[in-house]
Amino acid sequence: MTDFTKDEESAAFDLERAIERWTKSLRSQSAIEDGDAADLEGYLSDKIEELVGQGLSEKEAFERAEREFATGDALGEDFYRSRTTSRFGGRPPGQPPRFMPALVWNYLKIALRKLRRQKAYSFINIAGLAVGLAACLLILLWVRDELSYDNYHEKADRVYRVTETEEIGGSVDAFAVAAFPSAPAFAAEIPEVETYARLLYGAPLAVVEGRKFDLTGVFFTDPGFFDIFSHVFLEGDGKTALGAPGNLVLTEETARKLFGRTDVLGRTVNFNNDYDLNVTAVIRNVPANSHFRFNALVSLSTVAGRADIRSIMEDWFHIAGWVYILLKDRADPRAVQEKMAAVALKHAGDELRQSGSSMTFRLQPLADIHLRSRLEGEIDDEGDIRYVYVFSLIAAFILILACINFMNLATARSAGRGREVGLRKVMGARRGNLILQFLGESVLLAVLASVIAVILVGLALPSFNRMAAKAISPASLLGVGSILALAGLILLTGVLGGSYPALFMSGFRPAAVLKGNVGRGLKRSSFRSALVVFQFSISIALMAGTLIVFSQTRYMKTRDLGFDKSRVLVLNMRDAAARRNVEALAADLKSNANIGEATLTGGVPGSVVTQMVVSMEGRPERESFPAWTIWSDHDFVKTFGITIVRGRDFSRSFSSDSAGVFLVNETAARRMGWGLDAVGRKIGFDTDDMREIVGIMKDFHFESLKNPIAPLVVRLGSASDLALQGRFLSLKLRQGDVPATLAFVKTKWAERSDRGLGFFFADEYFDSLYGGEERIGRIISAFAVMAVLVACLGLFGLASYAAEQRTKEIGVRKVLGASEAGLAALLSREFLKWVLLANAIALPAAYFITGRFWLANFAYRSSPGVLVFLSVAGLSLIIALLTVSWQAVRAAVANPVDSLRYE
Amino acid sequence: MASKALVAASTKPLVLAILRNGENYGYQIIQSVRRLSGGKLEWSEPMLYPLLRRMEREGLLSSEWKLNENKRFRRYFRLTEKGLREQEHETAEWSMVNDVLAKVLDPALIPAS
Repeated sequence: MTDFTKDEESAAFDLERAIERWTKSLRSQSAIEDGDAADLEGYLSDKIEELVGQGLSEKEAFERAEREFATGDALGEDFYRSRTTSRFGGRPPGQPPRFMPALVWNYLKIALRKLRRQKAYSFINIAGLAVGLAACLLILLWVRDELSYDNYHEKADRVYRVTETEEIGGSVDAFAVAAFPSAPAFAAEIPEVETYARLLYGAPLAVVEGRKFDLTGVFFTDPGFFDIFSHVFLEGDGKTALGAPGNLVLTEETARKLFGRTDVLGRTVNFNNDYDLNVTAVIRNVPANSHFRFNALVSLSTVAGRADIRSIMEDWFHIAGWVYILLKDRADPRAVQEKMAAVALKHAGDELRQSGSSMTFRLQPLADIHLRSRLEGEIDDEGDIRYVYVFSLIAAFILILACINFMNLATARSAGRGREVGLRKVMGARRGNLILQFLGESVLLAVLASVIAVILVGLALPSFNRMAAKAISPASLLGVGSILALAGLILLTGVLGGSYPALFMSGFRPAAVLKGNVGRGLKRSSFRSALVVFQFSISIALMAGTLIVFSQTRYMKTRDLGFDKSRVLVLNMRDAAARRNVEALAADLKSNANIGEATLTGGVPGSVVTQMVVSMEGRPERESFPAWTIWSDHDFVKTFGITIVRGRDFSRSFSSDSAGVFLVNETAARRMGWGLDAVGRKIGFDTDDMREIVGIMKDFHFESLKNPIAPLVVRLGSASDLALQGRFLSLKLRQGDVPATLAFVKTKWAERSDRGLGFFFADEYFDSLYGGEERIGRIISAFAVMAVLVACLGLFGLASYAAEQRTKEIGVRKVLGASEAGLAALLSREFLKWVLLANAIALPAAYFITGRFWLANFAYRSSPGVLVFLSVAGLSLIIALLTVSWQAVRAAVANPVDSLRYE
Repeated sequence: MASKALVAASTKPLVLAILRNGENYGYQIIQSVRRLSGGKLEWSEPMLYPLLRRMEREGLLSSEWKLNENKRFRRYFRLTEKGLREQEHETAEWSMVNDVLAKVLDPALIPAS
C-alpha cells in the first residue's frame, strides 16, 4: 500500500525539472557564477542519487537534499568568502552597491530631462497631483479645525455641559439647556463638582456716554465661568471679573466697538437704558473654534433678582439657559450623573410625581459638544462628526485618484524607458537600484506638486473659508504639524504613485527591452483600465452626491410649507419699550398702502422656541404633553396665510376671545385624541386656567423639514402677555416697492425705538435653516469638481498615450479608407466603455450611501429622481468624451504620410 | 563531534590528504571524511564546495569535468604538483603538533636536555 503511494508520488515528480528549478534559483545570487551553479547542481545530483540508493523516492530524496543543502543566500556568502581577499567581508564581487552616491546626479539629470522632454505629460502629472494634494490639504485643514473645537480650554477634559432630557406624556425631548437651580444644588450636594457656570443669552442695547450700540452674543453668567473656560485677559483677571452684580467683561472687539480702545477697566456701560454695568475685565476675542462665542459677559447676579428672571433662577421646570460644570480631578462623570439624579429627585421629585413626567440630567463632555451633540436648543450651529468622516474619506479618495493618475501615466510612459532600464541593468544596476531610482523620481514630482498645491491652497483658502463658514488662517499651513503632514503626504503619494511603475519597470528583462520588445503587454493592461474605472467611479459618486444634496435642499426650499412665506417682513421686537407701543406702531405701519396684515407673535415659522406643557380638560394630568407654542395677537393666521380646516380664526368680533383662546394644528388635535372634534374643547398651560380651542389649523411647517411636524398651539395673548412674549412683528407686504416700504418701516421704527431695526424676510429666514446643508453641498461640489478634474487629467493623458501607441495602426487604417469620424470613434470607444462601467458601479453606491446615511436625517425628503442619475451619467460621459475625443480627433485627422514615414 | 574551529583548520589538510589517494569529487570527499571519522567529522556542502574552488584558484588542485554513469557531468579534483608539496608540508605540520601534544601529555617522551 505504502509502496504504491510512493510510486504514484514519484511518477508525478519530475526530478530533472526540479533540479533545474533549483539551479535557476541559485542564479539570483550574484556571488555564484555560472560555473559554480553547474558544480552545485552536480553535488545535489550526487546526493540525491545516494539517497535514492538508500531507498527514498526521487521526490523525497530531492526534498531532503534540498533541505540539507544550504540555502542560496548562505551558499552565496560562502562562495563570496572563498574569493574575497578582504578580511572584513563586504560586498561580493559582481554585486553592485545598493546606492551609489555618484549616480545621484545622473538620476536627477535623467529625471529633469524627462520632465523637459515630455512637457505635456509632466504637466498633467504634476497638475493632477497638485490639485489632488491641494484638495486633500484643504480637507485636512477643515477636519483639523473641526476636531480642534474647545480644546484650547486647559481643563477641557474636566468640563461638562449639563443636559436635560424630559419625558412628558410620552414625548421625549433632549435639551442642550438645563434648569438653572440645578447647578448650585449639584455644586452644594455633590463633592465631585468643583464649580459651575450658567449662561443666559441676551442681546441688549448698550449705552456708552450717550452713544447706543446693539449688542448680540451677551451672556449672563456665574463667577465660575473663568474657572471652567480658559480665556486670555488683556485687562483685569478671572478671579474677580464676574464676582459681583454689575460686573461686565468685554472682548477686545466689543471694547473697541464701545470705547475705541481696550484699557477701559472701571468704565460704565448702561444696558437697555435700565441698569449700569462696570467693566471689570477685557479679554481676547473668543477663538473661532469654540462651540459658542460671545461678545460680552455680565455677572448673572446682576439680573437674578428681576421679576422676569426669578422663575428661571428658581424653577426646576423653567429651562432657559445652558449649564456647565467643572468636575474635580479624576472624578467619574458616571458616578456624578447618578448623584445628579438623586439631587434632582430631592428638589423636584414632588412635582415630577404629580405630573407623571420625568427629568434626566446628563453630563456631556465639552469635547463632544461641537461634533457629537444633537440636542434641542444648542447655543450655536454645531458640526457633525459624520461630515468629518465623510470629508476625510473624500480627501483620501482624491489623493488616491491623484496617485492613480500618477501611476497610470508613469506606467504608460514606461515603455519609452525600456532601453534605459535595459542599459542600466546591463551596466550592473539591480532591481533595487531601479526601484529606488523610480521612486525617487516620483517623490521628486510629488515635491514639485506639493509646492504648487500649497500655493493653490493659499489662494483658495479665503473662498474656502467663505464657503465653509470657517476662519482657517493661511498661517496654519506653515505650522510644524502641517509641514510634517505635508512631508508625510509627499512621501505617501510619491511612494504610492511611483510604486507600480517602479516595480513594473524594474522587472523588465534587459535582453527583451534592448531588442525593443517592450510595451506589448502594456497596451491592454487591464490593471490600468481598472484604475480608470475606479477613478471615474469616485468622481461620479461625488457628482451624484452633490446633486442629491442640492436636490434635497432645493426640495426643502420649494416644498409647499403650508403657509405663505413670501413677502412677509418680520421685525425683531427685542426692545420691551417697542413691544409696549406695538399697537400704535402697527397702526402707523399699516398706513402704508404696501403693508397689509400685521401680527405680533412670540414665534414665527422657522423660529418657534417656546414649548409649553398642554393639559386637556377632563383628562388626567399624565396625558398632558409638551407642545410648541406661539403667543399671538388676532392676526397670525391671516398674515401667514394659514388654512383653518375646522372652526374659525381668532376674531375681534367674539368678545370672549380676548380672554385667551387657542388655535391648534392638526397634529396637536390628533395628539389630544380629539381629532377634528377638538374645536370647542378646552386646554390650558395650567389646570386652573383652561381655554377653548376655537379652530384647527391645517398642518404647516413651522420647523425645518428635517423635523416632522410637531404639535403646535397658538394662544391668543392679552396685551400684557404679548408685552412679555411678543418677539416678532410680522408684516405682510403687498405687491410693490419693497426697498421703499422697508425704508418707510425703518423711519417709523426709529420714531419709536432707540434700538436699531432688526428684521428679516420670512422666506429667506426659513431657507437659512438649511444653511448647513447648503454649505456641505457647496463643499462637496467643490471637491467633486476637483475629483473630476483630476480624473479627466488622467484620462486625457491615457487617451493621448493610447492614440500615440496606435499611430501606425491609424495610418494604415486611413490609407485603407477608414473615415476620420470612424477612427475617432474607434479611439474613444474603449474609454467610454470604462466610464459607463464606472457609472454602473458608482450610481447605485451613491444612491445607497446618501439614502442610508444622509437623506435619512430629513423627515421630508425628495427621493433622488432617475433624472439626477441620468444627468450624472450623461455629464460624466460628456466630460470623458470631450477629454478623450480631442486626442482621438487629433490622431484621426493626422496625415498618414507622417505616421507611416518610418517604414 | 569536532569543534567548529578544528573543523575549519583541518579541512584543508584532510582534503589534500584524501586527494593524495587519487582524483575524487566533492560529494565523495564528504562521504569519505564521514566514514573515516566514524561520523565524528560532518562536513557541509556549503563549506566544502567554496573551499575546493578556492584551493583550485590557489593552484593546489586542478579539476576536470567527467561524465558519470548517469550521464551527468561531475567535476573531479586532483592534486597539482604544488598541491602535493602543500600536502606534505601540511602533514608534517600536523604531525609536529600531534607530537608536541603527545609529549605534553606524557612527560616521559621529552628528550633529556
